[in-house]
Amino acid sequence: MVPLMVLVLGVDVKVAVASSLLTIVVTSAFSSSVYLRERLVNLKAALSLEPTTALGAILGANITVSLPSGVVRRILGFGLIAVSIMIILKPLLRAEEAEGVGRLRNIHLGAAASFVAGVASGMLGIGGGVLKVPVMNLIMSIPIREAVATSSFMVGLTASSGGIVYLAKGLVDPVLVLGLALGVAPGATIGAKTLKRLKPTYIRLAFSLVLMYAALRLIGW
Amino acid sequence: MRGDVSAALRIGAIAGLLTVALGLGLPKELRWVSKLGLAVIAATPSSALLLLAARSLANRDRSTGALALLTLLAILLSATLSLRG
Repeated sequence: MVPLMVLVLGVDVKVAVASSLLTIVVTSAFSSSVYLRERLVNLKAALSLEPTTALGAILGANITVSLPSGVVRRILGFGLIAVSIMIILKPLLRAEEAEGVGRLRNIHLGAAASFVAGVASGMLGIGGGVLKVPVMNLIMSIPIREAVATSSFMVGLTASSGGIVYLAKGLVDPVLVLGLALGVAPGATIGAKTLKRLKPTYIRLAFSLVLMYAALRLIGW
Repeated sequence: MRGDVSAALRIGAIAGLLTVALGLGLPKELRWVSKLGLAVIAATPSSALLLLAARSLANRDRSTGALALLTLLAILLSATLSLRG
């Protein structure tokens, strides 16, 4: 959403990051409400990891607020390159479908990695699920479906933590938030229908190429 | 318990979006209403967390309740500190 707002709509990068975070809160509220009802959210894992993640998001938001917009654009560009590489590597970054875990494993390592995901979320206006899901699945051995649902619940808390900082600085554009939130719902439905007809490998490749192109444009190459 | 938190999340997000939309349709001097809507959206996950903590403690699930309160405290403390700075 942030590259779209910056490159296509010409929105200032800080306003784009801020508005994206508030939109993520809305989308996460709807998706995690479904996951909560289906009892897919691992509340113990989410609540163990969220304090450090929220702290990271608030730190990340403060860093972005204090930096000039040009520097934020470049950081966003490099962040998108990292995300696009992670999307390509995603099939390799999946642990064996573990049986349900009673006790959480490597919780300290998971909390540290979640802090990094929080900083990235607050700085770049992303949900951070691209980092949180592999952390929970690979480091903490949480089954992938549970990790996706738990991440979806956490993303809302993380985005709202960073969003509060931007909101206090008056950087959130209500028109953008409303437009994005209303656009995401039909977009997700069309996307979900299209996804069934396409091979996941092609989708990943196309999406990471688009992200890479946006990243290079943001960096200024 | 999960059903209540799930409903709180949905209601908060919808109420926030409706308030933003209402505020955008009002005259300029009443545009603060849309900012109020944004604040409602930002506060929705923390409110759900507070509800989760209350329901967990009422159901004697102390570990979930304590973790939820700890998370809420971390968010509130760091947000307050960063806003003061």
